[in-house]
Amino acid sequence: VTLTHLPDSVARRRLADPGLFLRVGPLTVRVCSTHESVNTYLRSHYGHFPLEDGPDAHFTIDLGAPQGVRRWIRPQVVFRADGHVPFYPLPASMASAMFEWGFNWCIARRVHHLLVLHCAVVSRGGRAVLLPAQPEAGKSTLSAALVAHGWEFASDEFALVDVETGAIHAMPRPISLKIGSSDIIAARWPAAQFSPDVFDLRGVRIRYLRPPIESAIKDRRAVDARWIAIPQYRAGWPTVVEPMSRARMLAHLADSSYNFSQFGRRGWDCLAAIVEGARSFTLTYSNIDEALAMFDRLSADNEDPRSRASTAA
Amino acid sequence: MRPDTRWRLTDPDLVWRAWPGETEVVAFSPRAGSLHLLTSSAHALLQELSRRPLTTADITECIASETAVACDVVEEALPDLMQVLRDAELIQPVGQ
Repeated sequence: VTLTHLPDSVARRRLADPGLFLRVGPLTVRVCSTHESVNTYLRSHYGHFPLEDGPDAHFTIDLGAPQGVRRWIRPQVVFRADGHVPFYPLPASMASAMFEWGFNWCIARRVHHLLVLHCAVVSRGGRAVLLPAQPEAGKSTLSAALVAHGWEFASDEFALVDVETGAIHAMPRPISLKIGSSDIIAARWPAAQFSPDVFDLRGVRIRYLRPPIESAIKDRRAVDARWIAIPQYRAGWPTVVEPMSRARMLAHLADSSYNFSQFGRRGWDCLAAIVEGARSFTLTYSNIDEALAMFDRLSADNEDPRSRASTAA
Repeated sequence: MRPDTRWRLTDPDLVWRAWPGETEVVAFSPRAGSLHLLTSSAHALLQELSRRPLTTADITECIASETAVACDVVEEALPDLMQVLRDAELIQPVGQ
């Protein structure tokens, strides 16, 4: 069952109490809210994700109304994660964005059974590219452009790794794009569906791109990472691809993780295996078509990176 | 840095990975949960210390013989390298 299977009135009632148990990748999140904008957003952007019966969830996100006059006058939304309130309230018009930011926060702070990497993931022919980039590097725009270009979407923000099996789980949630970037993607992908505009906390106008329906359906499948690329958009720069040492990429991936140190030796072995199975490089670009062509060439390359094994001690 | 000071790894379970054709090596301390990107010289030094504690003079000799660099050149560069590794809490004097 997905949200799109439920009549709107039923979905609204369940969202208010006991909450919707959304399965997103390897996580089940319980979402509770009485805000109509949250209901509308979930139906449009999470409508094809599986719903579970509950009551178990990895965490509960509650987007409710505050006490007092802010319930009615210039209304606000309060974010609660498992009953705690980590942020100040925001205007109610930002409820759907607050859901996404709070969801990010919960994954970064509350997922302890999986290694959490900050990276986008796309794949083609069963082989995936990890894009572990710093904020503002153009990671989301690039991954959205790759999806518009025919790559399969797996994740915009996080890859969740099972350190016991090495499986990399996708988190195919909506992609946050600034207005300029969303215009670029809309021009390349006429069927793309965006949320209404919302201002982030810096006053930047953003939109959420709905993930392709098939990514929500395939979300439990682990991805096979064959390339790890650190993208960096630089206006006016030529497209430059530079190989990166695996040692340096391993250090970078550990830095990109929110909870690497908690896994000790198992986390180390797991990340090292991921790096060993992939080609590592940096990509600097300003022309998105050139960047896409570079990824097309990659996907046509059948070399197995695992032929270059490490020495370990 | 006294030449007779004996040094050891802070974490005797330190592990590392090196790939063919790469000059950088990455090390992980399970005890501290920290990860470090190392040069080949630092790697060589840590490998020696993983076998047994060594004095600064011993370390100089080991690195010089492994890298075929003159002892006086190694001696000059070693204090900086040792300081970096000490700041990273990868090595410490024996007894501390």
